Amino acid sequence: MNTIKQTIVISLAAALIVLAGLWLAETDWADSFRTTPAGFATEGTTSSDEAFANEAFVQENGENRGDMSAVTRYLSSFVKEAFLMVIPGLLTIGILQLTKRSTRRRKKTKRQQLPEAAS
Amino acid sequence: MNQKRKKLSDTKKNLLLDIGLFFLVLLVSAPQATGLAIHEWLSIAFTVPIIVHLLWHWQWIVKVIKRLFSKLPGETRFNLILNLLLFVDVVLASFSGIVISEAALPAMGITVIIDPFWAMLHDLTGNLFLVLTGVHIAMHWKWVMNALKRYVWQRPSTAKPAVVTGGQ
Repeated sequence: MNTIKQTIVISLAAALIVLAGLWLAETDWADSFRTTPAGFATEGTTSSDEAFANEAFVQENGENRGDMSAVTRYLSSFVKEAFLMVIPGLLTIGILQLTKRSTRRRKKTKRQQLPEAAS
Repeated sequence: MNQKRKKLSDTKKNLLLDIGLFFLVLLVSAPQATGLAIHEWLSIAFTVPIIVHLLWHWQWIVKVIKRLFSKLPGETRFNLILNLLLFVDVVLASFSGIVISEAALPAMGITVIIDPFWAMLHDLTGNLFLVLTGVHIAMHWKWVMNALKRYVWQRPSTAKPAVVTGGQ
């Protein structure tokens, strides 16, 4: 019973976030993404020059993808993942160690100061 | 003794789930490697272990939220903020992924028009998810290493007697 209640709470929290996202999608800021060139392809309102440029871009991109071997594609996506995960992770571990070391040092100096004050 | 054994098995359960989640994160975050269809179906399946992960840490969540406005250690407060951000990010990434789905939803007979805003949000939250996951793992690095040492790198000959004596 508890598990069901907890799952409902999680779902409600998720629903609130989704509502906030839907509200965000209605703002002018969100609209600014819909008017950028990236949105042209889906709207289908490109002029002939733009269509030609888009076609050339797609062709070039497709050729590049064809040239890229499957192994390179696998590796590049995992390298990106590793880069995005490992660097912040290492930084966090470093900062944690530094803060722990400084608090330990502070405690040590406090302990040393106490007997001096007492005497 | 039984309590101790239960605690150990909880750690083992958490470790197994977290290892599974880690590999799922790696697969889900690499659509270029897995292909779009696998990316989308795995992402839908990903919600289940995430909910289980949250349920297994429910006591911690409730305890820390209750003490949010009283005195809390800095590390715990940081963990709470990080986990809240991670939750918001996962929800937004999942929802934006569903909205721009090109394989899973069409397979269910639902056609979607790709909105550039949701596509941008999906990219942004996807990358942020990796960064936050990296920090989340780093915050629990000590626990991860201890659990791995205990259950994965431990010699079986030293592990067996402990289980036998625990049961008696």
